[in-house]
Amino acid sequence: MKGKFSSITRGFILRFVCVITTICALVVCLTFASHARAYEISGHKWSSSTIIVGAYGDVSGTYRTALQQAIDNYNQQTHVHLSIHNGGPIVAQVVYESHKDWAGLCERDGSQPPYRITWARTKMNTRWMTSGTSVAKKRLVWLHELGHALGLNHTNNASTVMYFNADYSSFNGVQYLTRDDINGINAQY
Amino acid sequence: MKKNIVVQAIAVTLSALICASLAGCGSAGANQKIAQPRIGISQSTSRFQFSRVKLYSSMKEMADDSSHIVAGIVTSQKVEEDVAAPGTHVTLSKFRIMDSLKGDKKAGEEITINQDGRDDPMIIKKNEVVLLFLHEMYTGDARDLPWKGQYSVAGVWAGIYSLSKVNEFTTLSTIESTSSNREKNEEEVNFSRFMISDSDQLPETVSLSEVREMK
Ligand SMILES: [Zn+2]
Repeated sequence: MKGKFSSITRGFILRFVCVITTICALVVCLTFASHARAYEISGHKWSSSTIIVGAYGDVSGTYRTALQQAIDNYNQQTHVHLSIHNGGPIVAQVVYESHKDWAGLCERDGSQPPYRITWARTKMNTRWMTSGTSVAKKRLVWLHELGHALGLNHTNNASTVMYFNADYSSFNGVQYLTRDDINGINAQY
Repeated sequence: MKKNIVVQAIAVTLSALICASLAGCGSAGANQKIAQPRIGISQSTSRFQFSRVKLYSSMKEMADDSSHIVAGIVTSQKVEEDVAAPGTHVTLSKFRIMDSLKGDKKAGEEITINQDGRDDPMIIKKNEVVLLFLHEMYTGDARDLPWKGQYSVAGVWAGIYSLSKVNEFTTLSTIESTSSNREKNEEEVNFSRFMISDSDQLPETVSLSEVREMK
């Protein structure tokens, strides 16, 4: 009788320990998962995942090569499909903007209900992104601005494309969309 | 009796008028219409997103990077097509300097602030009293000629601080109109961070005297 009771108690304790361990493991996993996520969604998105980019102004030479590489990167790694054609609702421009502290800028609509983006305008500033700046750096700025155009905001993680400053991301080895940037886009499309 | 009442009425009206005008003289600046301070706007609420060329790790770094640091009021503004990028817009704000902390400008002078975009929380508004960290846009390069006389904000949004309390405008007006007790007065005028973002490590609030010491 005593032996039977203790085996039941032991079994109960074992099961209890198992359940507690599983709960703890789940909590740890979820904590790490939420820490790992850096992307910030603006809440504004396009109604279709196929979007055309119109290139205007001085988007030629290495600026054009970098834009095409950025578009290829989105097409290969995310659920969106971008292509370059004049008249597209995402406008890409290369301009000289004197002393303004930005290498790239994106303006987008969609901030009012139903929060659908119908147009976006991206600009690259040749004051900082000169003809001598590498294609890799220009591609990073296009990737960043297209990320805004698709509905992403900035991250606090300097190892992502969507960080506030392309130089810092580049210094941290970012050359193409990172897993976090891809997750941010795919969470919406 | 009737004459007495008339004389008394005139005396009361006159003294009321004299009192009102004296009170007016005492705080000429404070009577000017100013906008409520705007503090702590989230950067993500802006329709305009920027890839910054520099992030500031301290107020000193931002002050060193600025050609001009000025406190004052936005007197008027207009939206124009961006000379560099047709189809896009800039907001040009006329700004009356009330206290100059760095650069060749003096209190009372007016300059033009050039900000990208229009109708956005990031853009300073008419009658707002702000402390601005600025870059002179004309650097001597011929390509900069279209922006001669215009200034851009250091760090796009980082270099805008808003007046902390409306009543501190009176002290700022005193600084503008007289140079006496400047140091003492600058200690009493505080500005707070206009736009909050994790991009820069800047103090939430600074006094004009603290900024002057940094340059
Ligand atoms: Zn950005």
